[in-house]
Amino acid sequence: MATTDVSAVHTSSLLASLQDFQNRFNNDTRVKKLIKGWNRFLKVDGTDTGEIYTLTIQDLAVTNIEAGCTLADDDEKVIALQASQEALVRIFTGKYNPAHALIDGALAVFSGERDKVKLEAIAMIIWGM
Amino acid sequence: MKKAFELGFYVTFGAGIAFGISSFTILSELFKVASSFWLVVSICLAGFICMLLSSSIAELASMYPSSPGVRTYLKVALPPRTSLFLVYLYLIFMIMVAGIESYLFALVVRQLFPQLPALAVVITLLVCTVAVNLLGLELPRGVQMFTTTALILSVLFLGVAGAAPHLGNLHWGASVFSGHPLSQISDALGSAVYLFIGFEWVTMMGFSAKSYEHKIPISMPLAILTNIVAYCIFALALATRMPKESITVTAIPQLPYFVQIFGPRGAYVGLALSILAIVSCFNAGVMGGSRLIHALAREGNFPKSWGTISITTGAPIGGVLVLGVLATIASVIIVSFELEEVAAVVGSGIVCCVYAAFVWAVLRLRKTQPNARRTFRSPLPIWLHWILIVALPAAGVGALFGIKGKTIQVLATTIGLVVVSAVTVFWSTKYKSNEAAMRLQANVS
Repeated sequence: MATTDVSAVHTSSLLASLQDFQNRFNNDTRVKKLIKGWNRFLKVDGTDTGEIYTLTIQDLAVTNIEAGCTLADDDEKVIALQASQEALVRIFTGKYNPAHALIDGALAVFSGERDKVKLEAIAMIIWGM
Repeated sequence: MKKAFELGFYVTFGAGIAFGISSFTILSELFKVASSFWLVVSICLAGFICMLLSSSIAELASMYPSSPGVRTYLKVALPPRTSLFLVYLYLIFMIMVAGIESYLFALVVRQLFPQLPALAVVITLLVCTVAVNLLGLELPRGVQMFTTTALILSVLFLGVAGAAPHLGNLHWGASVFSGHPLSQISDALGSAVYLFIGFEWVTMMGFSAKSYEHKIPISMPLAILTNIVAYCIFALALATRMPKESITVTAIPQLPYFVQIFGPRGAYVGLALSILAIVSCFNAGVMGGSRLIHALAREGNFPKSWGTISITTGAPIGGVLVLGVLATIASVIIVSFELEEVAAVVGSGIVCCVYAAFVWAVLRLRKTQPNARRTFRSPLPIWLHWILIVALPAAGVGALFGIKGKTIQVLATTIGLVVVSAVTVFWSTKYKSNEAAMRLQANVS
């Protein structure tokens, strides 16, 4: 049976969780080592609410979070993440391992294979998952 | 233009993963159990079954786009131990394919350089592949498309060029219906399914969510159709140019065929095609097994170290190393006991069962999650799903009895692998609960 674990979350909203993620991301030296030369746009899409945010990862930091996304989905620099809003909040606050979410079918990631692993490595470093 | 590139990538990816050096070995196997006519019929039938199956896989992929395919589809639909058991069998199959492909590559290389020991070639190939993957190097999409297109066009061209002037040698007349055609098809069908295995890996490669609505569902039958044409033409080319005994006596029938067309230089053509097949099938497909090991380790089914990621390249080094070691062990066993035929046939049987489980997963999910989002729905009627669920394992069992004189070896290997898989499920379950208990204890203290 599906083991998607998206029980009640107390974090306020998707944007708040992304800002929390931005802080942790930008203040972790090991993450910087991992993402050397890795500039990407992270499109975060809440499938049930239609809420979309784009995080810009540039020069070893998340430099911007903006609502919506003007980039094409098949742009190789875009990593698109799709899940229910609750699952996304849990993922970006370290409560739901993204590797588990992907295997459970609760999260979809559209990117190159290496980008997927890199995202997972970032989660491993930030939250020690 | 972009849309055509995307569809082209999916089709060549699916076709390329399925088309390995071992495809030629399977063609040689098929000649042992069927005449050229029924062999072609069996290939077409196996391809058609895989096309039907692809619509079920497309439905699962549309529900869980970009997920690690086999693991997710079976996990969400089937009981935990059953799904894990099937995933482990699939993983064992991938490891065996690594062994078969590398051994066959060594056989081709040794035709040109007979002084090289087979094991040294096998290990060099595996070490190089593991090193490339450890460095986190990824084959660009364009290169993947080029290698597969070059491989399939070469096979088609060389097949047509070789067969066209000698079509009279086929002797297809009323006599083809003598010699128990049904028995020939049933013996050949399961092994013929092997020729298409891997087409489903494209479901992990979608560029965007929209890709799962039409492009990926269409790409799978197109990839299968491409391979049906290539295999049939090459099989006919073999039948027209070589006596049956010369085809069945070797695991690499393409080599004597090319030598017959080009003379001694034909061996170089064989080597070039083998390199193309290795790039498209071995690197992208077999090393994809490392991602499955990585996913299973991250899920807690394997030791945590197997899910290690390189901090500098982001490569799943734990999975790559484990797969490399297991593939080397498989290769040594296959080289030492010349088990490539047995391994291919057993692998075919295993995958037929896993494919049936995919179809079963579709039906179960329609029942348990009727309102879940499906951007593609298999148009097959329910009764046809049930026919596939029965027919695929039956074809797999048929394949196990396909190699005359080696039935005991095949059955012993199958039973051995089933036991290994069951024991690994037991070990994983225990390991997972131990890990959970240790985490709980750490949290308490």
